[in-house]
Amino acid sequence: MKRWALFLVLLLVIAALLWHLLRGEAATALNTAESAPVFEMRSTPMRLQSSDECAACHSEVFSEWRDSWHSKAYTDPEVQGLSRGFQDKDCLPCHLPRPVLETGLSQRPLERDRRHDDGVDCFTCHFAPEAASMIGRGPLGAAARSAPCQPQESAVISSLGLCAPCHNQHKVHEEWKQTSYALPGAGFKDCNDCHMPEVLRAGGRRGRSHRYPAGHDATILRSAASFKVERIEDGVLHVRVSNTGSGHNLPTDERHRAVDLEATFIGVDGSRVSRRVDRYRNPYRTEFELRNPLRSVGATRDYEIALGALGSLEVHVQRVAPEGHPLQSIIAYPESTQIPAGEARDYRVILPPSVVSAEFRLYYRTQPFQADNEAVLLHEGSVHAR
Amino acid sequence: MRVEQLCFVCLLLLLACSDGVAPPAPAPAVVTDALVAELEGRSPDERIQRILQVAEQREAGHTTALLHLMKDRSQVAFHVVADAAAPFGLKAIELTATGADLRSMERVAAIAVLQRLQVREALPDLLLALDDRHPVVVNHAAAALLALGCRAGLPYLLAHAEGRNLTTGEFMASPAFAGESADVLLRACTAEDAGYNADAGFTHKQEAAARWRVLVEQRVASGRPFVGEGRLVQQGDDAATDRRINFFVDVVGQMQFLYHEQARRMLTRLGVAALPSVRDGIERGRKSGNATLLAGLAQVLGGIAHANSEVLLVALVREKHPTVASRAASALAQLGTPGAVAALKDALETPAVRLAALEALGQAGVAGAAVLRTWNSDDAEALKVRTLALFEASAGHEAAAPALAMLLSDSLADRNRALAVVQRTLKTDGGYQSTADAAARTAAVELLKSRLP
Repeated sequence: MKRWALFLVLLLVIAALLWHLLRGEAATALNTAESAPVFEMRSTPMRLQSSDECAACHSEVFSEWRDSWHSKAYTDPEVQGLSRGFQDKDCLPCHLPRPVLETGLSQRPLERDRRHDDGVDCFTCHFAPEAASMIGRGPLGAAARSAPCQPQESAVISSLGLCAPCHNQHKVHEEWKQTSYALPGAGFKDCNDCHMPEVLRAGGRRGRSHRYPAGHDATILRSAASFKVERIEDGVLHVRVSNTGSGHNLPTDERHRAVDLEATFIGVDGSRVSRRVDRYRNPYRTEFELRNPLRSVGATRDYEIALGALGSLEVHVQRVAPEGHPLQSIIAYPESTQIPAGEARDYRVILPPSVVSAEFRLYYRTQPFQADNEAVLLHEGSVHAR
Repeated sequence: MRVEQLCFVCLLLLLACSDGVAPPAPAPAVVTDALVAELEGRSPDERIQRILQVAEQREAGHTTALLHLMKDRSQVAFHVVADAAAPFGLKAIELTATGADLRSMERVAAIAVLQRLQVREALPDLLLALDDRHPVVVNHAAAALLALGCRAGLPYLLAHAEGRNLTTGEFMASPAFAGESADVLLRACTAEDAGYNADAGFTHKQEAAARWRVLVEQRVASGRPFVGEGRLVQQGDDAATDRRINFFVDVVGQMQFLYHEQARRMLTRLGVAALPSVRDGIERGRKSGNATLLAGLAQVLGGIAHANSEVLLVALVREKHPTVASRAASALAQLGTPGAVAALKDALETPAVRLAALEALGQAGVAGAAVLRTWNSDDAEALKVRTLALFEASAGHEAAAPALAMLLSDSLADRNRALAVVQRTLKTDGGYQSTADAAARTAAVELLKSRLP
């Protein structure tokens, strides 16, 4: 009897053990299914070693990528300077990344230690390590069957989970999520719509540009901001800077990018005085001295700018409600002065009598210390004050 | 084997396969804590008084609020909030604020309360507070850490007594409060007096700070505990603290680099006491395939000089993922032990980790040089790295010409690699910039040649 009881206990323990192990397997499988895309597994290892090899079949795309700032992510002198030649190793995972799908969608990639001149390369977005295969949007042609990259179609290639791991390190994705572009429906637009526009390739095939126009592209930058300068009465000007063209803040990116509204005033004797009026930027976490008086929509700010011999001018700024975009709720501390999507800054400038005209310029700088001659002049306008 | 014995073995197996402890209970509700709500709309002075009152009246249930207040408007990137669905019942959220005041004195008050109430759960957050931009907050975090048995803050107190920033080594622009509060706290934790006078001149304060350094070093050497020094928490002592430390380990595997960086720094500062959690984190990382976590924990281990770090890193350097293995190789170089050098020598056989292993051997000094002199390969990239490594391992006595020549290479990656090694070896960069034009680089290299041993 005693032996039977013990045998029963033994059976129960084994059953519990099996249940525990199977439950673990099931849980793992469930997590994998939720987080990882499913690909067709290839039994042979992929033969490609570097992006240069992709050019043989994809010369047009390769050429676009080579011209893009993705390929210069490591060699860009500005990044080299800011990271002290990448001695700040925390910058490497996004400037010299291994495939995103290796660590997973929406997870930051890890760094590689070779092929530095390729920066963010073809493998970063297109290689699915577990499947030993390159992925693309498709449709695949007949040549794909014998292609060394063993390609397969996957919707994953259009996923924001491929962009966000790096671009959200500086909060771009978070900014976009707060705009109406992120809402499902007819107005939905994601990173690809603006930064990988559709192009027509040789043979009439439709594809996506791999030039990634963004912070280094004057055309797309100019389309992001609109700018208006007008005289509303004698000696009183109205200047409006609006973020009407981008799906994120103007400028985007925590820390680096800056947009400056600069003003030059011309006196009755023809003398010119230039003074910076305002800077839009999301400072880094250690720049605590930077405050944003225009914290909420509708907030105003008054200040005076000394123009030396020309006297002083009064400036009244208002943060104007967004048109077509929801209010952004997060203001990181130290405080951002970026202009959220859809919003505007309205300036009412009262000029001293000695000023006869004014010129305004809106500059985009890839980093706050960039000189005017290296910055992109987004818009400019001048107005006679009298 | 008898049936009873079989049952016993099966039970042991079952226990081994289980998580070891029951799933953590979800943490109580968070920042919208009653205390935080109560402080809304009050003047700064009233807010501080109310925070301090928590300690005076020994009010319970405000831990989450205090942990938030001690980080409010600091450099800390994230706050930890309860999330029943998350592992360890916690998750990280971006720390944001919209107010204009800086609240550094509120952070001091919250830290003082956590110290008075001996809240062990605050240990990880206090370690992060050592980076606060306000030195008085850092001083109080150091004192609170000591009360929890952690001496990681002592170097900060000593540096602040000198009026220096420990991280940069530079003298502070306004060191008065930093020095004065450091002196007060050092007196409290040693029951000694170094004769520091906050109103005296620079030389007097430097002499007093030097005396503090001697007094503290003597105390550490004597094995005597500091006044009010607690016993450092060990895994298993306190479930809430374990959960929080384990959570910080998991943050190392999350997406935001600022979170990683801060979590890694916290764990390194916690030192040997972090090792059990790091070891568990490595196991979790292996099970879930989280290479980011493994790579980050390898970096943490490099900063914890202990035999167990070496054991864990020797295993990590054999990981299949090249970045994990490479970071483990770099971390082994930081340990610099004979076992570490042996593991790095073995790693040279694996192409994916070879470059990192060579670089690491360069940092291992004489023992590394011995390996590097005899190692050869047909991998051109690896041979370049070996040259630089030999230059570093021999303190600039060997392979100097080819190492400096690499600063003039056409490859930016080679130039950067060479610059990092030359800087570490010669303790100067000679004004060299890897992105400067060829003439400027050549001029800097000429200068560097004059600094060779």
